[in-house]
Amino acid sequence: MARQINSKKQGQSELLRDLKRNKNLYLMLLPIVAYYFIFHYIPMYGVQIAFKDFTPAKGILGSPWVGLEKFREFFVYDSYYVWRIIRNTILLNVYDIIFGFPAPIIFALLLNEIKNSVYKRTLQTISYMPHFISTVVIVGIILDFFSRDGLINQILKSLGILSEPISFMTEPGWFRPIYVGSGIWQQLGWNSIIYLAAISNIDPQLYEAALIDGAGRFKQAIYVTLPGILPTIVILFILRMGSIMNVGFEKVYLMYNPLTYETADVISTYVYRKGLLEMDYSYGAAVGLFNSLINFMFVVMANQLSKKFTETSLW
Amino acid sequence: MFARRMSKVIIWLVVIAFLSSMFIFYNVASAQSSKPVLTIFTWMDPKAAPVLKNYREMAVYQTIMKKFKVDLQFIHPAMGSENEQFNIMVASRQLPDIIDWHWFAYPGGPQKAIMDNVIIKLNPYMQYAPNLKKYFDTHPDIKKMATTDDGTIYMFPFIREDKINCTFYGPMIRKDWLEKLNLTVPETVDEWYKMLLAIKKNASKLNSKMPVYPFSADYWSANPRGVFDYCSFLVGAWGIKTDFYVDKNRVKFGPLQPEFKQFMSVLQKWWKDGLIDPDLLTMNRQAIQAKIMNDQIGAWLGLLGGTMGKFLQAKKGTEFDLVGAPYPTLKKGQVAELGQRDFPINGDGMAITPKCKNVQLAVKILDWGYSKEGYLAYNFGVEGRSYVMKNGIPTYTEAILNHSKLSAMEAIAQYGRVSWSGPFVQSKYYVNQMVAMLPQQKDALKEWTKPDNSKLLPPITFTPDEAAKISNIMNTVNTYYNEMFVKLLTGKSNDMNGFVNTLKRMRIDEALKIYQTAYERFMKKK
Repeated sequence: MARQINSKKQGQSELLRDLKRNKNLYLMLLPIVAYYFIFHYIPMYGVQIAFKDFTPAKGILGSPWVGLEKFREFFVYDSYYVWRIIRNTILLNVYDIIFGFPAPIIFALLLNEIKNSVYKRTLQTISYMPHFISTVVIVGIILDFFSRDGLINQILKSLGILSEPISFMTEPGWFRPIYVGSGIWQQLGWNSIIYLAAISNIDPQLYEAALIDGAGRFKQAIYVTLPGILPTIVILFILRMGSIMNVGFEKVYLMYNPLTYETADVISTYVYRKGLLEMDYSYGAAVGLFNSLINFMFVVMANQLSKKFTETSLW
Repeated sequence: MFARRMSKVIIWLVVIAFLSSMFIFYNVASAQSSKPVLTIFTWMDPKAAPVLKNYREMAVYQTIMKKFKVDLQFIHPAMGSENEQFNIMVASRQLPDIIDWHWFAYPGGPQKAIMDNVIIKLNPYMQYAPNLKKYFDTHPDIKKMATTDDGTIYMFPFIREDKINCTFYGPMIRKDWLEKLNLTVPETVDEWYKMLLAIKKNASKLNSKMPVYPFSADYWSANPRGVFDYCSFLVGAWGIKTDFYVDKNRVKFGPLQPEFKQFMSVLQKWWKDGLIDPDLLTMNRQAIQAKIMNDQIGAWLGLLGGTMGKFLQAKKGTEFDLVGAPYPTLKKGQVAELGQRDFPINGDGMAITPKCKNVQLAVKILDWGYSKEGYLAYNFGVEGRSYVMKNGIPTYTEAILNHSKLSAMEAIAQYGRVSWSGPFVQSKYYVNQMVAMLPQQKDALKEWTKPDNSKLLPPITFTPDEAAKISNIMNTVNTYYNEMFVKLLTGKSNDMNGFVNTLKRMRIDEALKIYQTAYERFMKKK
């Protein structure tokens, strides 16, 4: 690792010497820095349109400043939507954390109990396969399966559970379960890999000791395996908390329709509709900026939490 | 030593490759041709899609290319996402020379499109457009609708020649089913309900294989509200519309009227009793058309040609028969005040963008559509092949009207754009010969043209300031209204007062004021 530089205390000569000495390391860093600068920092110049009445004809610089007008529009006139999209964004994440976060942990624990290694590996491979299918294909499958005359309705009908088919995709009540459920199905195996890796690092002597103390398979899993992977779980949980205001835009956009906006419309899709479809670019930028602010707050919060619990933190 | 040097080389290579990849700009070389090139953004109409890959192949454009020695290149957005692609094109400023669009639907109206530098003012170029100029001079009412309030000409409009060109959508019922159930064609709102209920009750008699849904609509919007906005079916019985309309020189907005509640409660009753096709909620046109084809729908709203004609042709030789129903009224013997009627100008037209280097040529080409020659080419195609002259009236040939594989509208799409829109005057003979070919269609047209539609809001235009405000307010209102319409229809919500209050909070009153001002200005306009 390159030595840490503290340019305040030490002079420029120190920096120069360091640059010379670790020339290759800096060189390796250069593309990454350039990437972030070009693709993440330069475009930020456009954020100013959130405070302007932007029209493409006048350009970013030529459009007149309107201050917080666009924010006012969002919070005052469109207040009907404000709480809905924030609520939907957070709830989709909360459900995903409640149901989707423990699932791969449980799966990893179960997989760990399988002794036949061929069977175990096959199972693992099958379970992480869906991760590689693109969102568009996944949603296509969902729409087909859950349509009024789709597979799910056919099965329920033939079992005699239903008389009238359920319109899964047009009922606001069904959107969240289907969204979260399909997410678990897709990511379960993939997300369990890291836990399996953590499990394989646990000292076998601990298991022997537990065995001598009379612990069965179940007790071993609860008192040895689980504490063994707890640090991994905590770190991943904190990272997950940091993205609580982000919902994958594509999946929601592909899955929702005006009938399910009530539960499905999230901040990113709202910004898309307002900004691109209705050509209200400034408004879209303002809402997006507001979203980023909340996100930033969550990241700071997650960082504080991580300082408290794990002694590793971003700053 | 060697390994270190190698690693250095590799690192450098990676860096260079990475940086250079950032500075590659794609240069799309346009095909070099000696002729001037004009690019035209225009949507692919569903009727043209089966017969053409690109409008270049259309006879009328082949003629133009020969006649004006020009190369036309068409940009077709993907079918179904025209709006998104139009918006992205405008936002990214990747404009073609000519845009074919629904200019009334441009956010903020045509004035805004000029302000946004998407299209140009055509007034200075009218000297190169003698045909359109002549048409405007002889039809001041058309000119009034096709220009903005300050007299700006911004497009080469699609013009409908006659009143019968303006009505082509309405309620139709399975005539054979009415006969089976011993019913007459319903005239009032109550009779409609009774009829739909009878279809529901006798569903197994009418179709033993599949479930029957009494009522649906074949329409191209994402929301059922769009259908009622468009043709005022049912809602017109109360003398209101589901959107803006004019009542005694006052502009009004349907949902704010007390009658709206009564209309909604009827619709709700229909839904509750299972009389409405659930696909109506998502306006899944394909699914709905498939159901009509499979004898699963009893009555629906649809196009005179594109629905009625299409299915009568497709189900030829079966029992399937249709009758065009009158728009329902509250009392028997009345005529509904409102039905579907478009204005001679519907906002479709071709406009020229600031990117166009050869405006003069573009104007000449677009103006040609309003000449005698252009009229024939756009409407009828090629003489001797797609039409012949009979007693001075252009008449489509059998090859078009009774094509072995294609519908008449699909067949004529190889020649011209008569069945959707474009920069020309749509002929009344087209309606007589192609849209209302069958007796059922002629009768339907008689019924559907009965409402006087005096309450329809004319195509008014806004000043840029008004337009900005309107689009701001109405975008929010429409999104909300679309959602609430479905909720009220399905009975998920019954809170009419809350609905009206939210509309007021979204500043619908301000929008109404602006509409009123614009309407008064329009009425004064010469």
